Amino acid sequence: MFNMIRGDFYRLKHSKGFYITEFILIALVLSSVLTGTLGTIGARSDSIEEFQQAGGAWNAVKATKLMTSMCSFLIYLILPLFIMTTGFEFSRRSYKNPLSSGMTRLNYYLSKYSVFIVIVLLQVILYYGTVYVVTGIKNGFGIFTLNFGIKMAQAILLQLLLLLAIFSVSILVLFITFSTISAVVTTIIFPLLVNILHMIFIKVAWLKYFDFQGTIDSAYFTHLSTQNLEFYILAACGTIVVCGLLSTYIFNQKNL
Amino acid sequence: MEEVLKIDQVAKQFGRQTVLNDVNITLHRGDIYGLIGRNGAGKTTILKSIIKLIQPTKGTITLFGVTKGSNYIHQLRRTGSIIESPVAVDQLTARQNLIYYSKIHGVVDSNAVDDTLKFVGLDTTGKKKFKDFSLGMKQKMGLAIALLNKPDFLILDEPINGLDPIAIVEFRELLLKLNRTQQMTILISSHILDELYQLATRFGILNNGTIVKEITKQEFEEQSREFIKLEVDNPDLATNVLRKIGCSNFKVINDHRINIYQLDIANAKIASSLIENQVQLSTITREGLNLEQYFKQLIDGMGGEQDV
Repeated sequence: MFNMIRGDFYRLKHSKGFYITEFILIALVLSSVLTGTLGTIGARSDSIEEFQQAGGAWNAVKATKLMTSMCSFLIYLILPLFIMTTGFEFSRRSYKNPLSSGMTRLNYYLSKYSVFIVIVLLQVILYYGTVYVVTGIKNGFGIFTLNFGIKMAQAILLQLLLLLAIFSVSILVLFITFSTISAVVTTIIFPLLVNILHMIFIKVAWLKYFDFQGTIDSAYFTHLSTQNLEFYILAACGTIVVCGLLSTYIFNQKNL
Repeated sequence: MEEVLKIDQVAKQFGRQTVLNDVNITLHRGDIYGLIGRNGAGKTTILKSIIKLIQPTKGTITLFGVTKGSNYIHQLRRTGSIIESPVAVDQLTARQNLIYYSKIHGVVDSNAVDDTLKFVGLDTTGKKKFKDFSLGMKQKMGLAIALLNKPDFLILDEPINGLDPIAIVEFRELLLKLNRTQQMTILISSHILDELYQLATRFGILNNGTIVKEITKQEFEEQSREFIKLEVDNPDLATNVLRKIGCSNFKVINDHRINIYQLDIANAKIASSLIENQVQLSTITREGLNLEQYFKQLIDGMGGEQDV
């Protein structure tokens, strides 16, 4: 597992795609925090609007809070790295190299998943790190209270979990179809599909817990009851576990 | 001698289609085993079954004495393979690819990358990326990846397909060097039978998923050795004439045909002696079978060994 992480990060380090993706991430963050504007993929909640309009320049703390509502952009900035480290393995069938030299299929899956977790972590750290440092240098760092620290940590952990849940579905599709395109399309379509289903079947309350993308963006500003939070976490963990078990089962059965 | 691989009654079905049917193959340390068969005969399926990319429907495969479970997968660390086509990371150079795979395989020998690159002759490719490699270079890259963890057993699926004649010779010499210097066992499938003949010490001929013939190179050479074929009207008289001119190594095949295995007597001398002694000679030709002809005869069911 550790060897795969070392190997795949060596591969990323020598890939132009990695630097282009990271450049886009930093450029996106800079364009938002330097102009003081937010872009979102879904609907924006009123509480964000109110908070944004509540006077004063964006200092590091304020910007970090506000930028939680743009975090779902990371889905599209994790996607290229996911394709580079895992997708290409399947589309070019280079999984044969490790599998034919003593790596079990379960170990291969877990290794690739651990690489993916590290990628998600790094992207989240780079995202919030850039926001905090750049706005801090430009407009000051603001007051970092304990309450803010705890709430941010909770929001970021929830966002991490939801990002992993979204990509668990993509990984499952990749392990079933061996098609990078199908995995990419799933990553983009799945959150939209859940949204559409939720709008159509408005009475089916539990569907909202699978709106991972929407929840990522509202993780800081939506005040969730403990029970609601538990349901969101359960839905994400359930998706990760079910997709993981299905992926490994299907991968184990396949003639490669 | 150590048994490296034993394939015992292995069968594989895809749906209703039987791809392998009770295949038995045994390889010992230092063997170079050539797997011969037409497209779809089941060669790749056998090779994939060994490295567990495919699970056989029936039978057992024993690798370095281990038949199943995680121990079998562990033994695969002692193998290297190129199956179907060599694959590596397109965006990386030869050296970067080997560093990448050495990290994944946990290779600790710091010289392994440079030594392997030098061995396969890719040490001078510089910044050229894998995606820009020629087919020959890609095959060498595949071999380099397979050799990175210093395997005892190499499995190669059609490794010389598409290579130019010089690349074929270079590839053959690399494999022979590995076999001679490291006693590496090699299982290789190929369509290019003349080339396989120069490499392998044993051959398995696969047809419709069944091994129809196993033969050592020595046995093949004995069966396919060159001879002079005579067609005469009177074999008894002809054999007397042959003895008179000093020819003792021959065989009467039937009422009209004699095969002479002693090749130091000129055809002209044989012909003139027979004619002088009133033997009617209708044919005198030098014949022999190469592996390709042998394979074709066997598969076509046109006489096989009896005609050799």
